[in-house]
Amino acid sequence: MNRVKHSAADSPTVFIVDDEADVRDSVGLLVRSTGLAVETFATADEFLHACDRERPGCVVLDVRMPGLNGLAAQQQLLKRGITLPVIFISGHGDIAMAVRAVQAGALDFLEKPFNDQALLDRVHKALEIDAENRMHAAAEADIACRLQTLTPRECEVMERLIEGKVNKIIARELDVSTRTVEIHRARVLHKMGVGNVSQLVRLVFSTERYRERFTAD
Amino acid sequence: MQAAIPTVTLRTNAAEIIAHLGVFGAYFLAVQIGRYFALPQTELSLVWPVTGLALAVVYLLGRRFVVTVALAAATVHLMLEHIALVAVAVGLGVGVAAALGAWLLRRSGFQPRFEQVGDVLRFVLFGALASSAVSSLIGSAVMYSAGMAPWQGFTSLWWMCWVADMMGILLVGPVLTAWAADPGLAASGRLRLEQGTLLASVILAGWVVYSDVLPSSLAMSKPLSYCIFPLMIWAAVRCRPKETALLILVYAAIAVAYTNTGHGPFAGAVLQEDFLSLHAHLGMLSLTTLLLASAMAERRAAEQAVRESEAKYRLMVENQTDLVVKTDRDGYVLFASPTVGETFGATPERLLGKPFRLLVRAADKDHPDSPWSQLFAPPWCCYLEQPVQTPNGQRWLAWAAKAVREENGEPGAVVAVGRDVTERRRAEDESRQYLEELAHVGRVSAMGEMAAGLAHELNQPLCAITTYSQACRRLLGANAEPELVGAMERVAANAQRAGEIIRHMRSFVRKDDPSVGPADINALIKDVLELTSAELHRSRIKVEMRLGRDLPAVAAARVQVHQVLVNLIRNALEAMDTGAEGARRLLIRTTAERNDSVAVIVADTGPGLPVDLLDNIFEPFVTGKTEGLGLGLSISRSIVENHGGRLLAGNRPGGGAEFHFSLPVFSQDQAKAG
Repeated sequence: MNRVKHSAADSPTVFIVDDEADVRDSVGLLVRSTGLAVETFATADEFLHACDRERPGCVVLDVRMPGLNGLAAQQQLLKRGITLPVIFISGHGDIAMAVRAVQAGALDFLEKPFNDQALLDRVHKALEIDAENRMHAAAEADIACRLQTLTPRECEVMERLIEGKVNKIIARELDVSTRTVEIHRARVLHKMGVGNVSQLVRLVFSTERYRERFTAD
Repeated sequence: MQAAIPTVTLRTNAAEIIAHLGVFGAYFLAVQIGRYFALPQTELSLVWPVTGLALAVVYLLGRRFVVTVALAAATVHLMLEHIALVAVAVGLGVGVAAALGAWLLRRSGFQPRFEQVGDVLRFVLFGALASSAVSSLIGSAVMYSAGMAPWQGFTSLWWMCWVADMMGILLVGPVLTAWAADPGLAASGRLRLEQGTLLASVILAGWVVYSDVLPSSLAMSKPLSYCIFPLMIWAAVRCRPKETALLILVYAAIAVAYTNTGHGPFAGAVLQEDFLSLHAHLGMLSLTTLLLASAMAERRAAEQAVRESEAKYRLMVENQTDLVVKTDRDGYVLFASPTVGETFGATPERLLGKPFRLLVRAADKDHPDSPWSQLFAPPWCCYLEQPVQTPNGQRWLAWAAKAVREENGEPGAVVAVGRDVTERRRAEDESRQYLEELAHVGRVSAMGEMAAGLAHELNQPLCAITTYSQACRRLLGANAEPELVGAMERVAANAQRAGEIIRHMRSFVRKDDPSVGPADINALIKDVLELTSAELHRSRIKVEMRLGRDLPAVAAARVQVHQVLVNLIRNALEAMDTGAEGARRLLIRTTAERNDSVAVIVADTGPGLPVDLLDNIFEPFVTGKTEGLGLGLSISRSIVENHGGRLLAGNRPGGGAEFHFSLPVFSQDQAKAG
């Protein structure tokens, strides 16, 4: 499997949203002490305004804030397709709220005051998840890109190769010579950057879009 | 107790005709009797019962009988004297006299039973004197004008006629009117026997006195005639006036009959004079006896009235559920109703003379502030509620006592009425206990809410301290001064410990989780309205309820939902109290919401919620009131949310605040979980 290049800014940012200035600042300081980039926001609105789906990182989000609260901000993120992992912090240990937050996809829920290591562990985990998500997304984008370069005929050949048909059969189906199929096959493998058909199958199936398309047929 | 004036009513025409004919016949008979006592050689009678009959007939049967009586009189005289003018004049006289007498009797309020002294006097004055004066005047005038008597003796003749007419009325009138008004015989056999004996005695006395059966030396002595008085007094004391009147008539008939035939103490040379003295004797006898009889009747009636009145009050006292006690001014029992005895397990007689204090401890008269002492100063009454020990256990009695003041204004006795109020006290106690419980729940919730609020507020700086110190320690790095690193670690650890303490406190207060069960939301609302009714009434707030019908049971912890409702209702009440005067209405509505919850809306007509508070009205320590912690709504929201519902606030378009909360419908899953 080839290494794919990150499409967005490389260094992840930890977004910290809390209405309490000192909490915001201290958490920022703590996270920065580990060498991570930090951006802080006093309200959820400010954060939603600034964040962008291309920027990697994670969010440390206070639950109770004036204006838009943490849970609502989480909903907004999901609505906008921003997949940043969310770590909730709350001074108000409320089990029902925690359950709701986690059900909506939050990574964790920490009660203030929290242990530094606990928070940093969560932050690192969140960044890992985010990186993985992004890598995955980038890989898919890469494959999609390569698939774009195939000619219609090459696509037809590739589909039949994935279905496991031998060159002779493909030639008969497409009503071309075996030789022609061999040429197309070599081009497909080259364009997709794989050495053989089994690698091609694995690559195509690793993308959600194709897996669905083939299983649907 | 005046009986209505009796008019003998004749229901049918036949009865009417028979009555008229009967009167006619009776008149003929009476004339014959009167003529029997006529003076020799004249038409002048000494007893003229016709007048009594005429008066009684007109008085009893009505004015239309005046004509009958007049016709009867005219007919009789036409048959006797064959002079039409005389007959007409006599008829007119009799009719006028009877009509006048009857009219006067009715106008004077005469009662024909003769049961009051006044009735006897009225009868004598208006019936006997007035009526007979008229009838005798006309009668004698007719006799003169017809030439039956010489003009010279007119006064004496009128006098004779008057006496005769008056005796007729006095003897016959009472018998007829009294018996017509009350025709019944004596009720008991013994009384009848006694009256029979009296009658026999009177007849015997009449015979003995007037028939000359005794030796002449005795018989002729007039004093013998007085022997009738003891008998008549006996009659007057023991019998009713009507029976007495009958006895008088019987005796008078005997006396007159014998005297007319020349027997008895009043028979002498001149019949006219004999008769006048006999009349005087009989008149006095009749008058005194009737007066005595009516006085006795009056007394019997008064005694009866007293007896009835006493029986009535006794019935009231002895047949009521309240306890009635009368004591003297020192508190010793003079009377106790049967209920007192029942309550204390003793006969009322055994309580007599005992101190009232034994029954009512707080009535201790020695204590200056005791209710008992209030009895001896205006307003001369006291009220107290006391628990007492009875054979049926402890009962609460409410006593209302009043001093009975004597003529000099000093209290002479005390009347106390007690009522068993145990049930009411019990209900009050329960209600009070529940209010206390609610208040306790309220305090606990307030503590919890306060702890939660504090925790939130304190957690922020604690979180900052912890995080700062932890970040610092990291920033110091591995080569830093170990003491500095240690100190930083201690700062973080202590801040975290403070956080733990707060967390524990909160969980400790929140620990109580009352059991949730199915509840009728409408019933919960009614409970709370009952609990707050006094306050609502004091603030003159009208409650309008629109409660949904057939609402499903909600899953609720009763006390907690009560708490929410009390908070919302009190808020509404306080809001309306601060607002301007106007329609003060508290609106409570319940409806089913979707399938799984029931909504309650509590709205008021107060000034509404301040707009700047609308966003965070449910936060702890946020309040629009000058007094108050700002926890009520915060607690209410916590409770509703713990129930799985929501509490929202807003202002109504027409003014006033509106709170809306929902509670989930109770389901079987909850039943299992609960």
